[in-house]
Amino acid sequence: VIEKEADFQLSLPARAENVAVVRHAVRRYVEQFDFDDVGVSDILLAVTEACTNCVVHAYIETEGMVEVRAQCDGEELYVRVRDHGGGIVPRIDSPGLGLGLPVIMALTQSMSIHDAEGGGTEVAMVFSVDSPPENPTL
Amino acid sequence: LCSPERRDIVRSRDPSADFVIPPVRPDRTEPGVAVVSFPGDHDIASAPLLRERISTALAHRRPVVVDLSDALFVDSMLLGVLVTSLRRARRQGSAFALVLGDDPRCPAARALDVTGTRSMFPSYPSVSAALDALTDARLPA
Repeated sequence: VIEKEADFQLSLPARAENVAVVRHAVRRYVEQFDFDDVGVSDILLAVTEACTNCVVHAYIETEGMVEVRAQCDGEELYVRVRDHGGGIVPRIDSPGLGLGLPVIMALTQSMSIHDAEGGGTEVAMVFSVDSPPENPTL
Repeated sequence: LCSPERRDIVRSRDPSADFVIPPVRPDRTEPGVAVVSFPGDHDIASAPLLRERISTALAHRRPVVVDLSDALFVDSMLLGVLVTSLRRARRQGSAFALVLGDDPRCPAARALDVTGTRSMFPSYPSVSAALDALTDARLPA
């Protein structure tokens, strides 16, 4: 759904400190659309969880980039978060509760996770401008 | 919505320009109760420090109140810290409570609700309400 030249594109090293940078940039982008405050917060939480997955799972003992692209047609916002790493594999030393992907599923209209073209993993998320999920829970 | 001009504006912005590091509010200890406040944004970058601060508070085996009423963003990494801290508090017999403020849409409450973890924690609208509850709970019957 997202064309190669998406409205919003950001590529940063997949490091913990850059997750907030992505989040604040995405906030600036989505605030131009008609999401309410809760809708914006839900988008930022889902994008943060996707980026965190890249930081935790994509590059074990290596470094790499996290790429975020977004585009909105006025009715739906499409966000893709991808890495060029080894995919989401279980880590026994994972610092989280494993809630990242379930949270994304709860907050999005739809989502998918798949192998990215050229290698890596991509999380694709769709958010509805007019009808966000009500009382989302896992 | 997707004009070339807007595209340029979005791309030319420095994404870190409005990223503000929140002021660190010093932890404090009310009589017999440790209060740990987490204003600002909380994600994978801040989770280790928050884990350490709560751990330090729990080491004194006092009741711990975690004040999230001024948290502007909370993700599942912080929730992980809270859940593991709650487990430790229960193991050692320390009370552990959250302060979520008056706004039911506050970021911390939203994250707890979405993940279904809110019911795990005693929560209060203010630090004073939490202190009152914990103090009352420790009074002899």
